[in-house]
Amino acid sequence: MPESIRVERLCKVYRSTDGTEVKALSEVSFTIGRGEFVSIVGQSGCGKSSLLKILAGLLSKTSGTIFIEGQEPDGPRRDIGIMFQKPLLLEWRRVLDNVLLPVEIYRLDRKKYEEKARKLLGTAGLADFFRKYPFELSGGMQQRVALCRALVAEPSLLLMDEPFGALDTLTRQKMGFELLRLWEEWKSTVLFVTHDVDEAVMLSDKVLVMSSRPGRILGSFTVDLPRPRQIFAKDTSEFIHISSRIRRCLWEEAPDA
Amino acid sequence: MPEALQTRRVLRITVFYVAAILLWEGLIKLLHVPDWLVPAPSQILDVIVDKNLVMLSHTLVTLEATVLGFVLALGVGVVCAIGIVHFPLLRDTLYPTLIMFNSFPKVAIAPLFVVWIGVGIESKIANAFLTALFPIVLNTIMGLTDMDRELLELVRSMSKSRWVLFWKIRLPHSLPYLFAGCKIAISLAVIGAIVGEFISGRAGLGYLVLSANNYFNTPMAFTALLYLVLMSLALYGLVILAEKLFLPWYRRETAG
Repeated sequence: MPESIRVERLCKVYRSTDGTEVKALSEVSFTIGRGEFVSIVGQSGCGKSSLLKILAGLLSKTSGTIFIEGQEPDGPRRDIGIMFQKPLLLEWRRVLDNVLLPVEIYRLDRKKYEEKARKLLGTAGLADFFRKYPFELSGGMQQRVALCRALVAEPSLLLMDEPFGALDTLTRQKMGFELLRLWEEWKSTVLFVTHDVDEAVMLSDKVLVMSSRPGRILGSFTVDLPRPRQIFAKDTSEFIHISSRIRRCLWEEAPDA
Repeated sequence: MPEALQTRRVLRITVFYVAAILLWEGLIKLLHVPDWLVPAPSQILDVIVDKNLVMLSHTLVTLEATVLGFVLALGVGVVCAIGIVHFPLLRDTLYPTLIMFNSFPKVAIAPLFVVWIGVGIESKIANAFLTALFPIVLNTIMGLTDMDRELLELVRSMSKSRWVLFWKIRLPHSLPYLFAGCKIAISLAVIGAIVGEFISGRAGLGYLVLSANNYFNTPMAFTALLYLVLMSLALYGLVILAEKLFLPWYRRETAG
């Protein structure tokens, strides 16, 4: 499988104004194949978000090397889509115009991508909401709009920082399956950060476990459940087996948490 | 809000004001209060009927100074705010200067405007402008900067251009703040214009209040104040209307 992301011995040290140093990431190495769905699980504050921001070119690394699609990240790039825990919609734009924001910023052909945005929103069950303003939507709907916005410019890599973390359990599960449906259609690489082990296993091809600060990769677990995934997969012995191995890996690292 | 509840509210408010006016009228008549001390509502009504054209012409004078001062403050204020947010030099020079200007009473500068730009409408406009400027600048600065950090990161992951960030994100984000500033500024502009008229006016509602007072024509002074209140409320209403028109996406707190 061709590589989408290669991270080697990545370190990140934050220097605060009083001169103290905080090590956020320590010798992180992993690779992600093109079209793979990979999750990173770890406690809050373990540096998952820092890792994602470095990959997105929003944060500088202290040492190590990164290649995304064969290139070192250097500022904004069109082939990466990002999604955060908050939907971060622009409240003055209607749903369709929110989705088209990247298209405008990248100066792509609006006509062509408008078609695509409509299709995405339709797939996400928002066909009747093109002309609504964000405040007229529920939290889950807003997050679905954010997902469509992240996908509209056809990124080859989707970075997601606990994207469903603010939603209730049921909505969260549904959103996960919707994400999978879209992903199976557009086939981009996904790096998904979460602290929910079940969510990570349900969605991913591979789960990376990260230690608490400074973040290191403690283990990598391949999930061999058949696709397309179904909610019932949760009750299979394979699912239970792999998620309990991941939990143990997390637990042993932080017994006092 | 259900219609029945709305009707009840309107009724309650109407009853309250009608009762208050009747009580006022009754007390004045009952206690034989002279009109140079406190006029009765009926006497104010007399003035309105008799002097309608005079009142309107004075109102227009004040209205002109207020609106021109406000519009000037709006234009200059927004430009200042954008400059202060984007250029460190302006943030360190213009911003403290504005704060300094705001922190001493504008009434104290008003006579100087007369010296500098004369007794005409210009000094009233200048006064209205100066009182209205600061809330607009301050609110716009807040609107341009008080942003979600992750939203800024999201946009920065797509583009490094400050122009994109300003035009597509910061500016529209600042609009509700700007309107909040305008709501304060429009009432302050009225005060500014009136202060200008107090100092060197030959026309306008402020001049009218002052000269009516000098002649103990208290019914006239009350009438002028009434016109002033109505004018100020109408201007405030226009700002709210403009906000509703321009920001259909903005979810207001419904308080009233």
